[in-house]
Amino acid sequence: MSVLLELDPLYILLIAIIVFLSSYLLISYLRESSTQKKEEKGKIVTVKKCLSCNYVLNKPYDKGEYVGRVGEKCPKCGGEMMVTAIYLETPPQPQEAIS
Amino acid sequence: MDGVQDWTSMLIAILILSSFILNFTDIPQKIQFTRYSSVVRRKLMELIEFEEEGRRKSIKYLKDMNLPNPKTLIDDYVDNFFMIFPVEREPIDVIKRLKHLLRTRDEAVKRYVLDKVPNVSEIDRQRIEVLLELNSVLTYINKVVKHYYNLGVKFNDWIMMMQLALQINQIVRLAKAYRDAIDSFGVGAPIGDGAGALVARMLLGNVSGASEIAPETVLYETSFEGRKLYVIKAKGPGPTVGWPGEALEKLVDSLECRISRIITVDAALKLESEKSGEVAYGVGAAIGDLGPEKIAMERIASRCSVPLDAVVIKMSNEEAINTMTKQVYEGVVRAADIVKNTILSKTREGDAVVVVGVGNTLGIE
Repeated sequence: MSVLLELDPLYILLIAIIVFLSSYLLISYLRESSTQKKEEKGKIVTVKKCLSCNYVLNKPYDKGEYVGRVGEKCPKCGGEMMVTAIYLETPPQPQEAIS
Repeated sequence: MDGVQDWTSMLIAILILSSFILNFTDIPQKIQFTRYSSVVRRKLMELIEFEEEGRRKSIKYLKDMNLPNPKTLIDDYVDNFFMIFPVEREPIDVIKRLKHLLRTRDEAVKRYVLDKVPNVSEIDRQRIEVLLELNSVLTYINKVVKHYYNLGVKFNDWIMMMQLALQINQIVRLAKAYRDAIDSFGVGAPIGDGAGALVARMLLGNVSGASEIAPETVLYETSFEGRKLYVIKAKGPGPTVGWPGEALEKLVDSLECRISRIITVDAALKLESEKSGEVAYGVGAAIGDLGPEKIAMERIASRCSVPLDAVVIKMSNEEAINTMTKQVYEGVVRAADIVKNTILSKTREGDAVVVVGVGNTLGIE
């Protein structure tokens, strides 16, 4: 502290400006790299519903499945199951916009 | 004390000099130009990487479909198959001319794929067409950005470079969405734009047996709470949007206008302050085409004096062209409920109602 008091006020001003500019650059860089972090992709879920007993089964999506596809047997009653939905489940994203 | 005076004089001299440089030279603009052009250059590299990655992924998906020369197929497509819009200064029959050009282009793309891959199934042909289109869009975005960047450099136009630098993040976001869409279409699960088609599918339950009423567009007939229900959607599960306007026109004509209500359902772009999956309803034709399909819906509804309702499920541009998210799916469920309530509250038993589920029907039969 005593060293600072002995310094010329202009030196202190210069040091303050340099510190401010360096931290501004550092924060900008950190902010940019944090927004570029790898996004989590999530997983695609297939929802199947039994046409006889309304049993609902959620499972990971398999290539070739589509909404309206009928064919698989219900594990509960043995009836036909139909794909009723396919969607992507993603981890919740932080809200930045004002809604 | 003398030291302080020296410093003060030097500071004043620096201030005067800086003021002169800032006000009477182009140096600040040159510095800004260098900064902005470096930002654009960096982002341009990202865009080029997106294009190359998209190309690599598409080649992989096309190879999985056992196509012989996927690279040539893409290279010969990109930059070609553009469409020149009809003259609008003379508005007479502009919709007819636009519809003709759209059909001609669609047919040309279809013919191109079938010539290159003769024994391909209909669904695979539609998937190939979409992959080609996505690659074409990525190349086009890159070309436009490169064009403005090169123009800025050529003429030292720092205003153009600044505008480009300020917009480049949005452009990169859009290009990223298109690059990711290649994966979504490759996987084959429903995309956000399929929200309208999924609502239509939900109303059908396990009803099957559709008839093709217009090219790549199907009509289902079912009943709901004593009402006759006609459901129109694109023919799935391939990635197509069909011709819902033409289909509606044909159906209402064939029923001689004996329809009580037409309800259109589609995905809509949300504003930044809105949440994905929000549902809104109103009147009009909910369809985002270039004109011919929308005007066909409006014309037939007004000619027959049938109320035309619109239900929209909101989502971002990225969500619209990528695999449907859970939030959008929940919106679809809500939209289906709204359609059912509209039918119950605004029509009577014995009435006939048409529901048009607009959108890309990838992964939805």
